[in-house]
Amino acid sequence: MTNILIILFSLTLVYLLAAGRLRTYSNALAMQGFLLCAIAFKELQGLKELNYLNLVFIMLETLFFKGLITPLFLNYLIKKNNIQYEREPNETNFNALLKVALIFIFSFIIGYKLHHHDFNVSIGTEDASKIIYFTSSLSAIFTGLLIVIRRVKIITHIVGYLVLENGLFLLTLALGDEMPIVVNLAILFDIISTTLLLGVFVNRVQMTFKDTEISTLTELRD
Amino acid sequence: MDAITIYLLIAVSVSICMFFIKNIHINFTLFIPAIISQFYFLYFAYFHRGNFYLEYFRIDTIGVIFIGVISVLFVFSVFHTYLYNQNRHSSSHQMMVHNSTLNLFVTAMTCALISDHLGLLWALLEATTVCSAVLIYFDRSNISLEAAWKYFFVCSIGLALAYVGILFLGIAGQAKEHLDISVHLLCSKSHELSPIWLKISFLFAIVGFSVKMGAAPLFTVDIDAKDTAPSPIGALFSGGLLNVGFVALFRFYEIFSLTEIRPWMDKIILIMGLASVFFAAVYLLKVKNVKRLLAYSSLEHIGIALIALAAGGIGYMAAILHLVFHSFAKAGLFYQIGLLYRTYQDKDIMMHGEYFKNYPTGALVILIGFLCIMSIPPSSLFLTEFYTFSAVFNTYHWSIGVSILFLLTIIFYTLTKSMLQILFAPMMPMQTMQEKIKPWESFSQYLILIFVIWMGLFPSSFLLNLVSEAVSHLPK
Repeated sequence: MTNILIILFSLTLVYLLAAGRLRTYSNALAMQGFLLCAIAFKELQGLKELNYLNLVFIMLETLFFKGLITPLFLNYLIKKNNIQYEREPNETNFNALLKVALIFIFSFIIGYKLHHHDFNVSIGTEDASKIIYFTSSLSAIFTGLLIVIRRVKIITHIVGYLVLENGLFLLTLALGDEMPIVVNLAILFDIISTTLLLGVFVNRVQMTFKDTEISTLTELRD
Repeated sequence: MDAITIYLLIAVSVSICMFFIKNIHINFTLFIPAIISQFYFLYFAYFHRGNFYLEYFRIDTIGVIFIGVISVLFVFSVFHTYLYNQNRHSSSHQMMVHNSTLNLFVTAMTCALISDHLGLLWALLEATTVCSAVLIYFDRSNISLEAAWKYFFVCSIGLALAYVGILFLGIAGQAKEHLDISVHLLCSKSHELSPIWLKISFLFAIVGFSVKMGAAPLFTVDIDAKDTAPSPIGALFSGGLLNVGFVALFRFYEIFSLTEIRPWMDKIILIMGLASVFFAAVYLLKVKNVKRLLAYSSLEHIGIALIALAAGGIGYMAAILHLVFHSFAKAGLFYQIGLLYRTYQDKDIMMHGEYFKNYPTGALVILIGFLCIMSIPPSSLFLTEFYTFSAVFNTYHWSIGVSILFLLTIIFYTLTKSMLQILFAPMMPMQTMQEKIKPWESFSQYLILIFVIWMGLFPSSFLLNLVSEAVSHLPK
């Protein structure tokens, strides 16, 4: 079951890279939030020493912050700044799919090589499941970075950052244990404030430069 | 309640009050309890080295040394922020946000220095990034918006990569029991860690933390930040945040130096240090902006500290001492550049000139400060660079030492040229002096620079003992 959820999570990455409309990004992020919530629930439930406080905290974090608040906040930014599409010349859906396929293959090879020096893992074992985890989380990290590098709107950069953060969250789950709750709280607080502040900056950039493309920010140089 | 809880409570409540109090004088007065609490915490930390607090904090010597540096610079930065504000007449809202964030920034840096849990260390570093972005955007100008956005975004991405490194370290240490990424625990079982995971973890961590250190590869946004932020904040970036980034890397170094990957890791740090000095030398050749000049000089000095760390032996001590002295010298120069800007209303070096004639007190600060950062005797940075080179020539092939010396010569040339332009070159015909600065405003810079020179002439055994204690657990 967990494996299916993780594979669904990976599929949202394909959706994200092929998307052009900004609403699609926020929908995909919401979907990722819900999937992460389900994965975290399945994973933490199986732990020997279950810490209920931590479980509830992580459920709330994924469901409310990742699944609801962030996509709603993005929608608010999209509406306020009246941005509909991510402009990207010379990028077809085929190219996007090719890139995401390459990312999957690359992440799989890294995950596999790190876990095993030979190729004798049968599906269904714990190791195979770890590799699926690892491949998905690395793919999310690389997809996030690719979105940041390839896209031109500032708001899409935030989407890239959030995808990267989701990848990190999945990687933490892949470790099979959770961080202490204080550390989790601190990390969540940071990510919330980072997202909010990034959003504030998007509004400021729109107000100041009357544009939300990264190419407007080129005044600083030697 | 222990001292760290009290410290955190005071810092947070002072920041909240600052955020709401409109009266600028009362707002600045609130720094007094914050500074007292900062120094009390420093005093407490010094006498409680090796102890654990609130489960995730452990006070160690390197932390105490850099908390000391941050505490001193905090006082001077507050003083110069006050002068900066008096001169610019910023709005009360701007000052409320700025002061409140400045206090939180210093608190986050202090806590990061004593954090024993790598996850918490990461969270605190991200907190310094959030604060930095607000501090950079003080001016509310287009250029500060651009710098703040770039710094904030690249830092967040960089730190996310560092987090991957931290998680991989967790995987490396996971074979035996559940995930625990406390530095002291990982140190104690470092021989059990899997080398392949350690190598990947280190690569991610060093790239991620480079953005906080302002070292290669992710140094560009740090330069923009130091250029755009107000001078007192630039001083804290160069003299505080840079050290915090170094300590974050040092935590990884502490764990990994006891494993078999140490020679490989030293090579990576050496490459990073060399790249930093190289980029500093290249960029300094064309830089025209005096604050960017200081920022690139910081890039050079963190490069030297990394090279010293990679060289090992006496290099460990040299690295820490170099950063301590560099923090003071650079902060002194940043404060003075703030005053220089008030005189000429321009950051372009070509628009400066005849500073010795216009403001001899400040010109002397620039002269001494530049000699200090160029590591000319009797600057204490000369001593630390001397030890760095002796460690480099002992450990590595002589060609590496010679190439660093060559790069330093280029840097020496560019810094001297800029210094002479500011101090003695004739002023441009259209350039006029905008404001006469009072000599007492340079007093703090003299204090700082005299300390840097004094330490070069009569190195304090107290400081040397502290630094040698900080590196005593590293293998020779």
